[in-house]
Amino acid sequence: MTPIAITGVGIAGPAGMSTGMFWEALLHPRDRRTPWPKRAMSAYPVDNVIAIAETDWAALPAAATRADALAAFTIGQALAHAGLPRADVRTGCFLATTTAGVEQLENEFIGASGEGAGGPAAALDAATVLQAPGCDWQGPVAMLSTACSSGLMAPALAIDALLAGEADAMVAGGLDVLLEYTVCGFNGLRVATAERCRPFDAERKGVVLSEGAVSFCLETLEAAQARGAQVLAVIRGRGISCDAEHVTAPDRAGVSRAIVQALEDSGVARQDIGAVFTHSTGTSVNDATEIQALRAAFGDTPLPPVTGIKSVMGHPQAAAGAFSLLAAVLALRARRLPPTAWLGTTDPALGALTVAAGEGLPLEREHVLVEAFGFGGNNCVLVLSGPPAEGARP
Amino acid sequence: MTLRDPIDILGFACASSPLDAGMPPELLLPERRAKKVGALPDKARFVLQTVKACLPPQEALEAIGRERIGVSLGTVLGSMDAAEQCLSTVRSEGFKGVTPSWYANGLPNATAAIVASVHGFQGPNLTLLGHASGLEALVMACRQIAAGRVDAMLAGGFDWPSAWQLDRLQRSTDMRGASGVHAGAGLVWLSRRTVRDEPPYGQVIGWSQSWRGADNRSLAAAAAQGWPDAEPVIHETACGAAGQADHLAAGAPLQLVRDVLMHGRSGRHAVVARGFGTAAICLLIQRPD
Repeated sequence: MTPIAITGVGIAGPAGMSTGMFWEALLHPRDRRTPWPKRAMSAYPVDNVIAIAETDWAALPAAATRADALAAFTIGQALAHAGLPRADVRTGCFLATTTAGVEQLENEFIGASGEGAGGPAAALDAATVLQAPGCDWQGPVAMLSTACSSGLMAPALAIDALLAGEADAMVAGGLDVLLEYTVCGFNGLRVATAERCRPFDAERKGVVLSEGAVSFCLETLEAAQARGAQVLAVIRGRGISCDAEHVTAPDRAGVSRAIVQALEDSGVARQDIGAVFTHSTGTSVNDATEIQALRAAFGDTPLPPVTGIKSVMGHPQAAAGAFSLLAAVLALRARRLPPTAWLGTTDPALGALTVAAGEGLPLEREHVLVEAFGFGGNNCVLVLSGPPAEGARP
Repeated sequence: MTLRDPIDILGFACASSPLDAGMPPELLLPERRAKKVGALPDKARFVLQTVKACLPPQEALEAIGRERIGVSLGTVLGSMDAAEQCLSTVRSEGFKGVTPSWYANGLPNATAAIVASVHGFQGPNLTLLGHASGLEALVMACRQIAAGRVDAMLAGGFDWPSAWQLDRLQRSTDMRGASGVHAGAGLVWLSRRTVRDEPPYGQVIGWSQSWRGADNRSLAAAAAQGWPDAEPVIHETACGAAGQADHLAAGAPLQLVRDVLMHGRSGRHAVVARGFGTAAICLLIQRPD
C-alpha cells in the first residue's frame, strides 16, 4: 500500500483533551469508573462507566449535542495540528459513530431536551455533526457506522479516497457519547460489568462503557513530506473483512482474514511486528477469539506482545479503534508499549501470551498492529509504523 | 472522480410503502428466522426481500467468491428503533422486559450485517448514516471496487420509520413540505467489468461530493471531469422536497433505480442527493444504447 502519513490528531476523552494527558493516563492507569454522571441509571443492573468529566464537557465548544461538541473539537484539533486548513490542500472527512443522532432522539424521547417534537429533522441526522464550525470540506464527507470497528474503519476507508485522488488530506476517526440506550444495550447483552475491565485476565468479567472522540488527519506520506508537514506515524497496510456469521459472536476466521490482509497489504513481515494493540473488550469470548485469530494469522511466527487499552479507557464504542490507533502512534514515538491495567493472572486458556502489564514493555520493533472489531462481524486491522527517519523518502 | 474502468450495474431492486396501513406483507421476507442470525428484525426482512430481487444467480456469486463481495448501505434512522424500544420498555416494564438481542440487532449496521450473514458476503460491510447516505453508500461501494478490494458490492439505502419517528419527522420544520415520509429500499448490484458476462443496465462512470452543494459545484465538477460532450439528465433528491414523498436514505437509490435504470433513456445521467445542510453528492451513470 502507498504509505499514509498521520499528520494531525485531536482527542477528547475521559483522560482529558490532549494527547499528552491520554498517554500519561495509559502509562499510569488509575481507576476512572463512576456511575454515569449525567443521569442516575438505577433501573439497570450495572451503572459503571468511564465518562468524560462534566467540567471537560463544559469546556468544549457550545453545540446542540455532545456528539456535535466532540466532532467540532477533535476535527479542529486535528486540522490545526496538521497545519490545516490550507487553500491548496483539498480536505475531506470520514467520521464514525453509533450514537450521533440517537443522542437527540434519546433526549427528546425521555424529555431531557428543551426541544420538543417539531424541531428540525436534521437534529436526528448523524451526518450533520460533520458540519463543524469552520469546516469547508473540499473532499468527500461521510458518517460511517460499523459498530465498534468504526473508529478504525473510517481511517481505513479514508485512505481509499486519498489514493483515488479525491482529496489531498482526510480527517478521519470515531466518536461516541454515553447514552442510556447503550447502557441498556450492554446490560441487556449481559456483558457490562460492575468491576474493572481486565482484558486477558483469568478473572475478567466484561465491558466498561466509555465515551470520547479521536480524529486524525491523513495524507499520503509523499504529499505530507512535500508540504513539510510533521509525520506522527505511517499507516502501511489495512485489512477489512466481515465474518458473515453471527451478529454478536466474533468469528476466528473472519478476524484472521482482516489481520492477514493488513499484513500482506503492508509488506511488513510478521516477525517485524513489535506489538498488537488489541480490541480486547474484556469478555472471555472476544479475547479468546482475537488471540486465536492472531495465532492463525501469524502461523509459525511467535506472537508479539499484546496490550488492551480498554482496561484504562473503557470501551468508547465507535471511538475504540481510533483510541487504539492513537495509543499506537504515541507508543511508536515513545518506543514503549503501554500496559494492560489490572492484569493479575493471564487466562491460561489463551495459551502462551505476552501481555504488557505493570509499567508496560519496551517497543523494540518498527511496526505494530492495531485492531478493531464490532458487532455485525465487522473487522478492521491497520499496520502502523513510526515516522520515517529525517530525510527518508516514502 | 472519474473512473478509468466503469463499474457495471448488473442488478437492481426497489420497494417503498407510505405506511398508512402498515407495511404490505409482500414487501417482507416470508422467513422470520435465519440460520446464522436467529430471529430476523422486520427491518432486515424488508431489506432482505428487496435484496432477493437484486442478486445475480447463485452460480455467479460462487464464481466471484464470497470474500470478494461486500455490502454498503445507507440509513438515516440507524439505531433509533432500538433506542426507542429500550427506553420505552425500561420505563413501562423495567429492565426485565429488555431482550438481549435488541441492541446488537438494532445497531445502525445490523441490517447490512444480517444481509452479509444470510448471503455469506465476507467483503467490507459498510453502513453510512444521513439523509444522503444511500447515494454515499453507492459511492463508497464503488471506491471499494475501484481500489480492487472486492469484485462486487450490494449497495444502496433503506429506511423504515417507526410510528414515533414518522410523527417526529412529519412535524419537523425542515420536512413539512414533503407530501409524506415513506419506508423505502433501493439497491443495486455493482460489479467490476472483468467479472461480468452480461450487458449491464448501466455503468457508474464517476462521482463527486461537495460540501457546498447549494452552488452546484458537485455537479459542475462531475461534468467537467466526465462529460465533455453531452449534458446529463439530472435526477435530484433533497430532504423535505416540497410535494414529494421523502424516502429518507432510500430516496436517491430509489430514484436511480426507477428513473435511470428502469425508465431512463440511453446516455448520461446524474443522480444528485442533497442532505441536510449544504452537502451534496452526485453519481454519474451511463445508460447503454
